[in-house]
Amino acid sequence: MGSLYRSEEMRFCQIIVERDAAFSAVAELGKLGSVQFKDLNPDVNSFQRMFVRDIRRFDELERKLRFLEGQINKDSIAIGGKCDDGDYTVLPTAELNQLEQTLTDLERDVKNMNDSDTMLRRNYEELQEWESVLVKTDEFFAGGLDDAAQEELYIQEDPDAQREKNPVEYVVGVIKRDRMMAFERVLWRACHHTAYVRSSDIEQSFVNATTGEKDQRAVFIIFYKGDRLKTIIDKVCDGFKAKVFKNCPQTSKDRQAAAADVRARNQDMQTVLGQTREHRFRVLQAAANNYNLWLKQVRLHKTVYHNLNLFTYDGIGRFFVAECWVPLADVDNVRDALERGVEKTGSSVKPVLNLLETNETPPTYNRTNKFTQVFQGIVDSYGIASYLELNPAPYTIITFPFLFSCMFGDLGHGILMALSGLWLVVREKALIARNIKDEIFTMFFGGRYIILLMGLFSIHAGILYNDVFAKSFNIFGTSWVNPYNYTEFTHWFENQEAQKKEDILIELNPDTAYRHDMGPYPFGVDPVWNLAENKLNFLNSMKMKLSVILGISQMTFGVLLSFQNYKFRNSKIDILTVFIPQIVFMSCIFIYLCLEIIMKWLFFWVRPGYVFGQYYPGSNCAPSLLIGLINMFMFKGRDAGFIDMSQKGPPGQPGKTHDACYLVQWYPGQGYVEAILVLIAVTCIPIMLFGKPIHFLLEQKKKKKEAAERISVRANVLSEEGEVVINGADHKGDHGDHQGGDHGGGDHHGENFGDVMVHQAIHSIEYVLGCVSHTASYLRLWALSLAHAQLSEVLWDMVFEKGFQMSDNRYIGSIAVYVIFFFFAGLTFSILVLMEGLSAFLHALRLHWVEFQSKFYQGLGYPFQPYSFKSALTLAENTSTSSSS
Amino acid sequence: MGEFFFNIDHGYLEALIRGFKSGILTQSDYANLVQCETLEDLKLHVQSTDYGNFLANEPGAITVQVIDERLKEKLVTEFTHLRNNALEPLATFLDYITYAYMIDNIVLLITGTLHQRPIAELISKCHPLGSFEQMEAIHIASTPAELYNAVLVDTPLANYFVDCINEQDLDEMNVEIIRNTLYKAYIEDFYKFCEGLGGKTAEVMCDILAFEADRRAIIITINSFDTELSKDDREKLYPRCGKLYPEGLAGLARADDYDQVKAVCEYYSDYKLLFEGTGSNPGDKTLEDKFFEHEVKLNVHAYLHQFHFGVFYAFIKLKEQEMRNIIWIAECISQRHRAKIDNYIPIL
Repeated sequence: MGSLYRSEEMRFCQIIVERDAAFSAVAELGKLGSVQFKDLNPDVNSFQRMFVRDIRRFDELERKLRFLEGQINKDSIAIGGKCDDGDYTVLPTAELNQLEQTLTDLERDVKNMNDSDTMLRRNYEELQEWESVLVKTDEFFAGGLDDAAQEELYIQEDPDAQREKNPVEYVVGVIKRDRMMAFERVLWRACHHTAYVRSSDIEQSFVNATTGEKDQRAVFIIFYKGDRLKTIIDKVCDGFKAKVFKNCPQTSKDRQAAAADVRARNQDMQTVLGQTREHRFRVLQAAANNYNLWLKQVRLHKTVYHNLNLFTYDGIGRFFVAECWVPLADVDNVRDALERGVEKTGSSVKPVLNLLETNETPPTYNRTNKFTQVFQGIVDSYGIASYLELNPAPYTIITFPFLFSCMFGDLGHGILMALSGLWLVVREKALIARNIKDEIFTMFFGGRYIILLMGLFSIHAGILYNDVFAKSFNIFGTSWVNPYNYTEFTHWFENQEAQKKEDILIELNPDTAYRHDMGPYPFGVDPVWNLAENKLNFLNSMKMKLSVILGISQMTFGVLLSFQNYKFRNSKIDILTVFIPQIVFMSCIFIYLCLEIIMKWLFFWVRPGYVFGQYYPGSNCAPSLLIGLINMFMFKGRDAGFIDMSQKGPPGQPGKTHDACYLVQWYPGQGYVEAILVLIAVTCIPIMLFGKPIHFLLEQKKKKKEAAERISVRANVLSEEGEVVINGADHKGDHGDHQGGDHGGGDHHGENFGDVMVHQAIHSIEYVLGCVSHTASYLRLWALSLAHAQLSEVLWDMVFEKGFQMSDNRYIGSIAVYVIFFFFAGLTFSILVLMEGLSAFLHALRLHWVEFQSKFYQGLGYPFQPYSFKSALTLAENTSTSSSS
Repeated sequence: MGEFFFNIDHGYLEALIRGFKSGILTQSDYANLVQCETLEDLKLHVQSTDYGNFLANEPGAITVQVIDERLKEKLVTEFTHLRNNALEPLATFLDYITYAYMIDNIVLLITGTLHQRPIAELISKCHPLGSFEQMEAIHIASTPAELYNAVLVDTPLANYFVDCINEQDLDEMNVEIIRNTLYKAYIEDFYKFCEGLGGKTAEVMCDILAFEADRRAIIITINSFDTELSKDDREKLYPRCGKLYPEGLAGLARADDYDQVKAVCEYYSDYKLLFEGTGSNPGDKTLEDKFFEHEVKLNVHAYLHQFHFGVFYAFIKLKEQEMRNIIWIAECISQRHRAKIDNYIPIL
C-alpha cells in the first residue's frame, strides 16, 4: 500500500528485450500492471506499425467472436463465465493457433447451419404461402369474390364471351400486406383499369427466412385478359417482389387435394426444422460456455501487441527497446516480471531495465484501494495532482463526510443513509458478482463507502443538532425548568380562555428558568429549543457561527498544507513571501473573528457582572460581532466599556449604560489591538504581491553578473581574432538548479518578469478576495442545514401529524396513520434523503474543490495509466456492453 | 423572427447535424488515407475516425463496393434519423433533398431497362436515399406517358414530369432530356420553396441552389456540343433560378463551343475564377473538380450561420463529396493506380 500523502515517485525506465522474448515479457508486465509505455513512434501511422498484422488477425478473431455472440444471443442462450476472471495467463502461440482454427471452424459450421436453416425455412415459408394461396383462392371462387364484383366481371366479359377466344385469365400470388395498396394502384394504372384485383389478408404472420423478421402478407388474385396485360402484370409483380404461383389448380377439388398434400409436407418440414434447430442450439451452447474464455485470450493478445507497437528496435532488429514510466516501488517487480517472461521462452539473453534521466514531468500515480478510491476520485475529477504534490484525498476522507453532515444533520435521515451504505458495503462481493450495468446503480455502488461515512457522520451531526425527523430527544434531561408556579398558570389560562381557545406562550427568562447548577446540556442542543418559539433565531445564530468557525479552520488548514508543498520543493522564497503573509493575513482578520465568536459564547450571558474587568449590564449589551468587524476596518472610535461612569445609572450599577452598548469596546485596549491587526494584515498584501517578482529580478541580476564573471575573453592581437569562452562551471550550476527546485524559485529561466508579476498578482488578489468570499461561502453549511431542518419539519407537520388529527375514533385514526405513514416515509426517503442528500453532496464537493483546495492544490498533473490486463478487459467489457445495448 | 423560435422545433436536429458535420474527415485524415497500401490499411485508419467500426463486421477481404455500400448505409441511417425526428417545415425540406436522388434513380432504371438489364441488378445500384415505393415497377413503362401514368403519378416528382410527357420514345437522348427537365423543375421548385421559407434559410439555400442551377446549365451546354440536341431544346433545359438567368443563359443558349461558354461566364466573378484555374494539361484540375470545390466551399459556408435549414442540405452534400473522396482513394488503392490519388476534393 502506497501512501496517499503524495503521489508515488516515478522512474523513467528503458527496457531492452530480445525480439523473440518480447511478447512473453510484455505479457508478464501486463499481469503486473504497473508500467506505462511511452509511444516511441509517434509519427508512424497506426497501419504502418510493427505488429499491425497481428492486430489485424485479432481483429478478425474478434469479429468471429462477435458473430458467434450475435448467434448465441439470437438463440437466447446465456453466455457463461466472466471475461475478467482474475486469471491472466496468456495462451502460448500454438494453442492460440488452435483457438483460431476452432473459431474458424465454428464460424463456418454455424454459417453452414444457418444457410441450411434458411433454406429449409424458405421452403417452409413457400409451403405456407402455397397453402394459404390454395385456401384463399378457394374462398375467392367460392364466394369470397363478392356478388357485385362477379356481376361487374360478367358485364365486362359479356361481349367477349361470345367470341370465346380470349377467356379471362387470372394470376394468384402473395405480397407483403403493406405494399398491397401501392401494388393495386400501379396495376390499375398500368393496365389501363382493365385488370381486377382482389386480395385477402393472411391471418398468420410470416417469418422472413433470410432476415428473420416477421411480416404480414396478403393473397391477391388478378383477373385479366390478353397477353399484353399479362406481361405488364408480370413486370409489376416482379417489381413489387410479389410471389406469383403459376400452377394453381383450376378446380376447387384439385385445390383442396393440393392443400391437403401441402399440409402433410408442412408437418414433415416442421420436424426437420426442429431437428436442425436443436443441433444448432447444442453447438452454440458449447460455444457459449467457452465464449468468454476465448474472448479473454483474444483481448489479452491484442493488448500485448498494441503495446509492442509502441516499441522501437535497435539497428539490427534483434532487440526491442521500450521506454516507460514505472513507480519507484515497483521497479524490482517489473524487473522480476521481465526476467520471468524471458525465462519462459527459454532465451539466454537477460532483459535489461535501465533507469533514465529525463526532463519530462512524470505522471501522477496514487495507489488506491476500494475504500480510498472514491475519495481520490473526488479529488481527481477536479484535477490530477501535479507530480509529487500533496494529495488532498486523505483529508477529504474525513472532511467531506463531515461537511456533508453539517448540512444533512438529522439522526433519522443519517440512519437511513448509513444503512443503505452499509447494505452496499456488506453485500459488496455479491453485488460485484451480479455485474449490474445500470448507470444509476453503479454510481451509488461506486460511492458506497462515502455513503456509509456520510450516513455515520450525519448521525453524529443529528445528535449534535438534536434532530430526528424534526423532533428532539431529551436523553440527559434538559437544563431548563418551568419557573412559574401553579396559580400563575391557572390565572393565565382563565384569561386566555376568556379570549380565545388557543395555546398560550410562556416566556422562560434564562435568569430564572435555566438551571445554572446543572450546566449546559451535555451533548448537542438542549431539547427545549425544539418547543421554543424562537427556535430558529437560536439555531441560526449558532449554526452560522459554527459554519464560520469550521470554514476558517478548513481554509487555515489548507494554507498550512501549502507550507508542506513549499517545504517539499525547498522553495524558501515561497514560504517567506507567500505562505507566511497568507497565514498572517488569515490570522489577523479571520482567526481573530473566530476567537471573538468563542469568547462571546464563553463570557456573555443574561446576568450582569464583570467581564474582562468591565461591568456588563446584561444580554442587551452583548457585543455585535458583525458590526464590530466592520468598525475594525473603519478604525471607528468606540467608547471603552459598557457603562458611562460619569453619569448615574440604575441602582446596583456603577454608571449609565451606553445607548448602543453592543457596539462598544468590550475588552480593554480593543481599539489598539484591532488597529494593529488590520495594519499587519494590510502590510501582508504588498509582500504577497511584490515579494516573489522582486526576488525574481534580483535573482536574474545575480545570474547575469555571475555569467559575466565567468566569461573570459581571449583575444589574439596578431590575427585580430577574438573568442568568448564561457566557463564550464556555468553549465553544471545551471543543471543543478534545474533539479533542485522543480517548481521553486529557480525555475523561472523560461519566464520573464512580466509573467511572474501577472501570475503573482492574480494569485494574491485571488487569495485576499477569496478569504472574504470563501468565508461567506461556508455559510452554505448553515443555509442548507436550515433548509433541511425546515423541510423535515414541514413534512412532519403537514403530512404525518395530519394523520394523528384525522379522526377521534382510535380505529379509524390508526388506519389513517398507517396509510399516511407510507406517504411520509416515501417523501422522507425521496426528497429528504435522496434529493437533499444530493444537494448537500454537491455543496460539500464545491466546498472542497473551490474553498479548500484553492489554498494549496495545483492539480496540473496527468494520470499514470499503466498498461494492465485487468483494465484492458474491463474496458473491453464495458465497450462491448455499451455497443450491444 | 423565425430565428427566435427556431430551436423549439429544430434545435435538437441542428445540434445533431453540427455534431455530424464535425465528424467529417479532415485534411490530416486524408493525408493518412492516401498513404494506405491496401484496403485493409484504409479500414484500419477509417476506424479511428468518426466512421468507427462500420467495416468491422465484414468477413473476408473488403472491396470498394462493400465500402461504398457501408458508407451509403451510414449516411442513410443518419438521414433517416433526422427525417424521423423532423417537424414541418424541416420535414418537407428534407424530403426535397431526397427528390434529387429519386430523379437519379429513375433515370438509372430507365437507362438500365433500355439496355435490357435485370431489374434486381439495377435496384441494387440505386441510391437508397432516393428509393420510393413504385420504383421497382418502373420497367413496365415504354413511353414517357406510360411512365408518368403508371408509376410517377403518385410520387412527389409527378409535377416535375409534366413538361416531358410529350416526348415520344424512351431512347438515350430522351432519357437525358427527361433527366434534365426533371432536374430543372426540381431545382426551380426547391428554390421557390426555400425562398418561401425566408430568413437565413432562403439566404443560404438560394446561394447554393443558384450555383447548382448555373452549374447544370454550363455542363449541359458543354456536353451538348456535337450532339443532336438543338439549341432551342437546350435552352429549355436550363434551370432558371441561378445567377446566370436571364442574360447569361441567353448567352449560353447561343454558344457553339467551349470558349464561347467561357466568354459568357467571364462576366460573373465567381465563375470566372473557376474557369481560369482549369486546363486539360496533366496536373490541372478539370472544370468539374473546380465546380465540386466551389460547391464544397458554399456548403461549408452554410455552417457559418445558425438557425437555418441550409446546414442539413450542406451536410448531405458534404457527406456525398466525402464518400466520393473515400471511394476515389479506395479505387486508386485497389487498382494500384496511385498517380492520381491526390485528386480528391478536400473538405475544409
